[in-house]
Amino acid sequence: MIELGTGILLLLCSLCAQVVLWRVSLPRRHTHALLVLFATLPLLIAGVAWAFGHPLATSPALAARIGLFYAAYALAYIVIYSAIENESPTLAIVALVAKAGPAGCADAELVERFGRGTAMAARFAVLERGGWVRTEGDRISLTAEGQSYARFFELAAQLFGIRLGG
Amino acid sequence: MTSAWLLTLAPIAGLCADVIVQSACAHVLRRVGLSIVVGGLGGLAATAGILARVAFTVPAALDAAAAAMLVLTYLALAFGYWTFLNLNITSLRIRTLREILRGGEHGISRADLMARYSAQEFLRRRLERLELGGNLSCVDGRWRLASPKLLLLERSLARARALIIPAQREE
Repeated sequence: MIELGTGILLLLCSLCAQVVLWRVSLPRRHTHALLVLFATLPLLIAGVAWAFGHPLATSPALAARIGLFYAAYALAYIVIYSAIENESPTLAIVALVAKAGPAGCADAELVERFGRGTAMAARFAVLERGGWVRTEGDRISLTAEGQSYARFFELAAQLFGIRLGG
Repeated sequence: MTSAWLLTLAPIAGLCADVIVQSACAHVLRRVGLSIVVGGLGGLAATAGILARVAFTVPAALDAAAAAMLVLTYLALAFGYWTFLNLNITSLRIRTLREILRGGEHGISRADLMARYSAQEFLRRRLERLELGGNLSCVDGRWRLASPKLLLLERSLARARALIIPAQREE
């Protein structure tokens, strides 16, 4: 019971610390800030406990169990956070259709709201800024880093039986 | 290996089982959605199997709270794996990288890429996925909500956004 309680307490402390820190100073790179916060806070808590004469009295196996529980939920939260941070276009479509009620939503209305804009250009700019692709005239090719990622995802897709998505 | 370490590694063994079962099912059944569910259940069975084995051989090593913690850990790891698969299925950036890779050393034409992935194409793909997933239905050219699941998710995320991210960020 104490391991489960410790794991949950550590997660709650990290979440509370995040809410407070976000109000004090919103970071530029949210995911990076979350990874740093969730990685360092448990270590900080353990260090403070040790400094005040309360060393963690637990076996390596139990400590690893608490660490694995905490890490798994911390990473799951960070994944979910990206959906909290940026509104999903798919969910925005669902919300608009729901708002239309039983009368439904015409195709034209969805096109007007979601079928314009330069979404691909924005995504492409992110890939270019990240150093994964380069442009030479009209041709787009992968950088060495981009090739590594592309090959990784291609291999993962073949291994896990996933078709070309997007 | 001691029973304590066997228990600690049970969720990781479950994740490995999840990956193996999902991959095998995806290739045999050729249905990714079903393979993800079967893989998840396979991993859960593997985790539960290890817990049961320890519970029968060394009863004192495992109590209900510890078992709950280990199952919850497996579920979080399985969620992470599902997210990784989902990213491969839905991410346009990943698709773009893979298409450029398939274009060979000369890559692909920028004009082709922009034309192929217009905002209208994005919308069409999303609507197709929502209809196939049973979330929306299209009758006589009008879209209606077919299932409240995603709407509940959208509302939960909106509330979480309001709670966690300060309003001054809104541009």
